[in-house]
This record gives sequence, C-alpha cells and structure tokens, in this order.
Amino acid sequence: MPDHQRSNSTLSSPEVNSRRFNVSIVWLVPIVAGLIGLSMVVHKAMSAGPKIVVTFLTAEGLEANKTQVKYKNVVIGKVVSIALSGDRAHVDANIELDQSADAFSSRGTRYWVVRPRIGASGVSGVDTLLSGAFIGADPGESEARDKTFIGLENPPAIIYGKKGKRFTLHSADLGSLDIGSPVYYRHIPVGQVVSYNLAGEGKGVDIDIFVNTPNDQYVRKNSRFWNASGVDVSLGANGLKVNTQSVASILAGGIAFIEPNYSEDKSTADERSEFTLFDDMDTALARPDGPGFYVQMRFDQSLRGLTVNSPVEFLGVNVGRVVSVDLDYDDKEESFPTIIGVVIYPNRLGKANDKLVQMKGADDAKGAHLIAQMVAHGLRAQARSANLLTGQLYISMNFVSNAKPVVFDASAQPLLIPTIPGSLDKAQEQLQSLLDKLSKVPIDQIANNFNGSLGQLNKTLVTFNGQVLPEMHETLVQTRKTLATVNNSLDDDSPQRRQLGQAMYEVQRTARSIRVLTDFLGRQPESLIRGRLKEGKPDAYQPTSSGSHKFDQE
Amino acid sequence: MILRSIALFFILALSACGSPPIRYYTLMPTAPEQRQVMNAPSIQFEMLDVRVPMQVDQPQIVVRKSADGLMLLESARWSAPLADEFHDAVAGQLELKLGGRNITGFTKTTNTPLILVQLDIRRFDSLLGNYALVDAVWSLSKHGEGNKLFNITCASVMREPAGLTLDTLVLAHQRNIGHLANDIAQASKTWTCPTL
Amino acid sequence: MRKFNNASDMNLILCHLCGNACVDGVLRCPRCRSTLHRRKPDSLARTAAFFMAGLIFYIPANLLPMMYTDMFGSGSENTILSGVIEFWESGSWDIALLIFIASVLVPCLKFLVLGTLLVTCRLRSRWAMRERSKLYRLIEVIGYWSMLDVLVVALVAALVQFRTLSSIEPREGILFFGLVVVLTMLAAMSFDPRLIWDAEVEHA
Repeated sequence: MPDHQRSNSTLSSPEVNSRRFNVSIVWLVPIVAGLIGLSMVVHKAMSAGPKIVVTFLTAEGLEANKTQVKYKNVVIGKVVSIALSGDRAHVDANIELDQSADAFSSRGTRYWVVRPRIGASGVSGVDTLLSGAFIGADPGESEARDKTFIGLENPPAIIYGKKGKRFTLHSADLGSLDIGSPVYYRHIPVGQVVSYNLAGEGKGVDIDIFVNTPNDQYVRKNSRFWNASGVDVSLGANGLKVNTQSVASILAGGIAFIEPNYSEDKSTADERSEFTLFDDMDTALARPDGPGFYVQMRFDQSLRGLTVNSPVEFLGVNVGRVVSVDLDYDDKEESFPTIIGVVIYPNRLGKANDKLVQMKGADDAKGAHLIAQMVAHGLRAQARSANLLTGQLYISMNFVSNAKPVVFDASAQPLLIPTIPGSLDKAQEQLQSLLDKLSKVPIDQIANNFNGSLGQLNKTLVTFNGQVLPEMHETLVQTRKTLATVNNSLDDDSPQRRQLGQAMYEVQRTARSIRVLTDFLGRQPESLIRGRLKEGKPDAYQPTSSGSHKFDQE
Repeated sequence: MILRSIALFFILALSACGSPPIRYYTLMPTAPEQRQVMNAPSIQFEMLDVRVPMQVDQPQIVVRKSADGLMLLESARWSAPLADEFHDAVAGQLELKLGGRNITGFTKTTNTPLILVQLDIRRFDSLLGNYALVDAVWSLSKHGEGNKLFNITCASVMREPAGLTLDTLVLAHQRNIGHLANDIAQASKTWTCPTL
Repeated sequence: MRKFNNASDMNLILCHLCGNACVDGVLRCPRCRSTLHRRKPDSLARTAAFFMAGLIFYIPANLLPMMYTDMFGSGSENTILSGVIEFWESGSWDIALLIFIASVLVPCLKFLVLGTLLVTCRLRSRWAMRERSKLYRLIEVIGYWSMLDVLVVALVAALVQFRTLSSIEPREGILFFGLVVVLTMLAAMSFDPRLIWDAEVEHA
C-alpha cells in the first residue's frame, strides 16, 4: 500500500478542536419538538371557551363530538358529550363554546335543535337532512352567566333580535293559522303569527302577530286584517272565485291586511293595538253596512237553491242578503208559498242612497213610501238562477215593464215586496212557443207535394223501359260485333301475329348467338388472343372406350 | 429504336395467331332441276318448329368419339342452327312428297284441309366410319274449318351407313331425312303409323 | 474468545461512502476523499435525539385529527385510532387492519426497537446481540412503510373533491405523523449497528 504511506509522511497531523460542550447540535430537534408540543397544549387550553350544559327532552339528531352549535350559520361551539340526566327524563348535552362565543353563556340564551321541520312558516331546516342536525342559539341580554340551560323543543318564533311591532287580532276561531303563519301586506310577507290563545271565556281566539320593521309602518289605525289562508274558492251566486296569497299560505295559513281606500287615515297603529280578523277580503274591506232594512217576499214556486246569505241584488248591485227561508200555508188556495226574509242595506247603494237621503230624508216611513212608488213603477222581486251547475238562486229586484199591478201596503211591518215568477218558468215558456211553431208547420201540403213527385218518377221509369232499353240492346249487339272483329285480327295468320312471330324469332336468334359465343369462349378462352387452334382430322368411332377421356378436341 | 423493335415483335406475334378456316355443312340437298310451283295444292300443311337434343344443338358438328365421349369439331359447322336445318330439310322433302307447300304464318285457304306437323328429334348420332342415326317422334293433326278431324303421333328411326369423312356423314343424314319425310307423307295419306 | 477480527484490530477503517478499507489514522479516504469515521459520528446521541423528537411528536399525531371527511354536508374529523375504529365498524376490516398496522403498529414497533437498541448499546450489554442486529435490520426495512398512511391521506384528499357532494381534507395530525415517520427514519439511519458488537470488543 504505497499510497497511504506517502500520505502518512507528507501530511501533518491535523489539529483537532474539540468543542467545549460535548453535546451535539442534534439535540435541538427534540427540544424544538417539545416546545412545539407545549405551545400547542397551552394554546388549546387558552382558547377554550365556556362549557355549558343544555337539557333537551331527546337527543335525536345530536351526536357527541360532532354536533355543532351555530348562530347565524357560524359555528360557535360543539357538543362534546351527551348523557342521560339523573332521573332519565331529560338528556344533558355538554357543549364547549368557542372563546368568542362568551355571550352565549349569558342567562336567557335560548338553545334549540334545528331538525327538518314542516311548520307553519313552511319547511325549515331541510339541509339538516344531509348535514345532520345542529343546535341553534339565540343569545340572551342579561349580564349574568349561567352554566345550565333548558333547550327548547321548537325554534322560537322571533329570533335574532328582530325589530318590529306586535299586534293582537280577534277572531271567532283559529282557522288554519299556526305559530309562524305569515302575515302579508300586498302579497309580501311582512311578519308572522307569534302566539295564540283562547280569549276570555273561550268565546274567541286572540292571535298575536309580529310585523317586522320597516313594514310595520303600514299597519294603520284603519287597516283591515283577514284570514288569507289557503285557497279562497267561493262558488257563490257571482260565480267561481279563486284567490290565494301564496303557496306558503296554502300550506300554513296566513293573514293579510290592507287599509281600505275609502277611508283616509294615514296614522300608524300603536304597538299592541287590537284588530278584528275577518274571514275573507271582501268582508274585511266592505264598507260598514249601516243599518239593515228588513223586508219579506213571497214566492209561489219552489225556491230550491236559495239559501240563507244568498245575495239580493237591485239592478245588479248587491244590496242585501237573504236571512230566512220559510214555508207558509195558504188556506185559501191550499198551497205552500215560500216566504223569504231579506235584509237590505241601503248604504250599499252608495251615492244613490246619499242622494235619496238628501232629498227625502232618512226615516223609515219615507223609505216605505219610496218603495211604494217604485213598486207602482214596476219594482218586482224575482228568483233567478245564479249558477246552472249548482242550481243556486239569488233574488233580483228589477223594474219589470209590463208587470201586473199589485196592491202594495206601505205600512205593513215588515214590507212585502211583490214577486214575479222566476226564470225557470221562462224556459217553459220558450219550450211552449217552440211547440206552437212546430204545430204550425203545414204537414199536409208537404205530403201532397211528395205524392206528386212520386207520380212523376213513375212516368220517367215507363219512358225508360220503353225507349232507353231497346237502344241499349242495340249497343250491346254492336259491341259484340266489334269483339268478333278484334278476335279475328288476333287470328293465326293475321299480319299482327306474323310480325310478333318475326320479332320473337329475331330475339331467339340473338340469344342463340350469344350463347354460342359464350360457350366457345368457355371452351377456348385463349382464342381471344391466339385464335382458334387447328385441330386434326377426327378419328373414327371406337365402340370400346380408349385410354384418353378427353371431352374436347386435341 | 427499342420501342420500334418491341412493336414489330408484337405485330409478328399477333400475326402468328391466325385461325384455321371453317367448313360449313348443310342438311338441305340441292334443289332438283325441275321444281314444281304447286299453286293449286290439294293439301296444305304447316310445319312447326323442330326440337333437337341439346347435345347436338350447337353450331359445331358433334360426332361421337366413343361410348362415353362426344367431340365438337370447331372447324366444321352447320350453316344454320341444327333445329332450323332439320326443319327446312324435312319441310322441303314433305313438300315434294305431299304436293303442297309449308304455309306457316300465311293465311290458310278455306275449304282445304290443313295438316299440322310437329317433329321432335330424340337422337341425332353421328359415328364416323360407322353410321348416322336419327330417331324422331312426330305427330300430325288434320284441321278443316276450325274442327279437328284427325290426330296421330308416331315414331321413326332412320339409320344410314357413313364413311370416315364428314361429307359422307352429312350425306348419310340427308338420306335419313328423306326417309323420315317418306314416313310422314305416307302417314298423312293412310292416317296410320308406318310400320318399320 | 472472539471468532471475528475487528477492523480496529487490523488498523483498518471502512470508508462509509465507497467501502474502501483504509488504514487507520488517515483523515480522508484515498479513493473518494470523504471523511473517515470508525463509527457513525455521534451515533447514539443523534439516534436518541431523533427518537425523543419522534416520540414527542407522536402524541399530537395521535390526538389531533388526521382527516376531515365531508359527506353531503355532514363532516367529521378523524384521528388515526378513530379512523381505524370507523373503518372496522363500517365493515372494511381490511382497510382498518392496514391502517392499524401501518400507522400504529409499525411506529410503535420502531420506537420500541430503537429504544431497546439505545439502552442496550449505552449499557454495553451483550444480551441477544444477533437478535438485536436482526431487529435493527427489520426496522430499517419497515420504517418507511408508515408513510403509507400519509400517502393514503394525500391521495384521498386529492381525489375526493366533489365540493358539495363529498370532500376530504387533511388536517394537522397527518403533518405530525409524517414528521414522526421521518424522525424515526433518521433515528434508524443515525444508529450504527456496529455499536451492538462493540460490547464484545469492550468486554474481551
């Protein structure tokens, strides 16, 4: 090994510097690791928020270490563990809130589980079907801190500190309303039903609603509220009407309000004002009807289809309604007329009523006198069919031109308005007139005419037999002769036959030539180039077969 | 230069491709010196198309080589298709023997009986150095004024010796045809099949 | 009674880069010019340091979540052990077994073996020397298989990214676990197995 010897002698011994500390620098690695671990632990400890316990009736949808607590969709905590309470009547959910969510441990904070719900305000929380339930929170206002809370089973109606006004509505029954049913103003949801309870003595229902700011300014002192639930289908004498606020109101019911345009009052309602909840928009917005005027009518026909609350119209304007339908017995005529009780609201006549009141004064006697005059002019009541499908009737008061004069007692209490038969009788009349027309048709004359035509037809046929037929016979004979001639021309030795024969012959020859050519080419295809081979003289016939068995020529 | 020599070569090669000449034969004998016109015939006849066996229905003459072989002679051909040759030959002979002309396709004279001749050749053997044989089946039907009067169907076999050359063979066939026409004419008169 | 000759007996040092047997006392290998060391420098100290660092990091690797799985909006974080349990309970016991072996068994085995080696070499014990060498070879071989878990998480997180339908994201636990694997690998690399056999030399 010459190499190392040389290097051994030439190199001087190196200087070895030993460190002061015999610790290698690699120990930095575990030190750093330890510091990192420590910092993580410390950080975790410091960032822990308050720990609270929320009690629920059931832990449905909650999972330990997974379910989150959210406020306005921001995660503010997590359920760490779930345990049954001591008396096994409740479930305790231990929740660790974030540090920033300190306000949620204040007294009065509400917690509830957000699960998929179909409620009054619609379907809510559907996304929890996929992502799992979470706990919603609504922070309280108080400064004190609590450790245990009782969770709500249903989400509270008003959350997140909304601003608005509360009002109370009175109604006969709740109808299809529920907590959360929307309140609409001009078809826009502006609030919701917050709570309801039976009124004193159970004679009605008080409904609390909450209208959000800024729409609460539209609740005026004279606003009218009505139940806009579902689809308002009314099949009345006026026809079929379908009315709805929204799909949500079909599902969950709803209340709508608007101020009527006939009373100008722009002042907004105060908080906690009380209103009446009407059944539908028309009743809500109807003017106050004013005093009602009771009259009676007597009909001699069947009034099937006329019910209580059927409308009474005067010249097309709804002026009142039927309040009673009774049968009466007339001894003299031994019939059962129908007595209808009607309430007429003169206010509904609007301007006409105002003018009349101005001119004639507003007392009953004058009113009766006015009606007497109108009856003299021909005012009659009539039961008309409102709807052929349903057979509903309504009372119509009109001026009839040629009405029979009746005796009208203007002082009777109540007044009895004279009547004329209804429109069904009209149909009968029309049928009768049709029958009369039909009977006027001159059937005899038609029959006579028909008879004459038949005779004419007979004459024509006779002529036909006498003259036309023999001529036809002649024509037929002629046709036969022609056919015979044709037959002859197709005869054997007719020139046409000959020409046909010639043509066929030529075709035959052509086909034959082609066949011959193809046969030859098949036998000697090289003849195209080399021509036919020369063949030798043919041999004599040999009765016994010789060695070669060739078919064609050598 | 090369192109020219190639063209010359091709021309010479093609010229070597010549074809040997063809000889044509016919079954019609030469017409006799005196030919009768026969304008007032006592009988009129029609000869329908003749059917010949397919083996010999070739333009080339077919000779029998051995018991199991035929030979087509490319350089010896019939001058017309064999069926037409036969038809014309038989019709010509019949005219001489019957005394009337073959009037196929012409208007028939009324009040004169009409004989329809139908001929079907079953064998047409040509054996060089041996014989020439014709085997035929034929039928006659007599018409007069649209009503059939008589019908008869017969057969004939004719055999004539032949030499080694084709000329002798064809002449032997001509003699065969003459015998056939004799038989047909006799049958039209006696209205019975001729005995062999 | 020694059967084998030591390199120091024969005044030889093996170059750890090119394998050249060089004469003792020379500073650099004559062939590849790399510094010569009799044993890996600071072998025990480095091994011990890396070992301790790996041990320290193993705690957060197990406690912190490794992966965040979001399926149709319902997300959950999983540590190594909770992931193993979930896989086992959901029926894919093969995956559970694989992850358990790769992420729990192998690192623990490495820690155990390295710890044993460190202690026995420091004590110059002559107990089961051949078996200890075999153990060392074992952990050298299986060391990097622990990275399987890291690879699985990386792959899964890269592939399952269907936004709302499902998505998987890695979490800080996997980082620490990767560090653990790397540190134990470094520890195994720093350990010089010849130290096991030095106990023979010392005692003889």
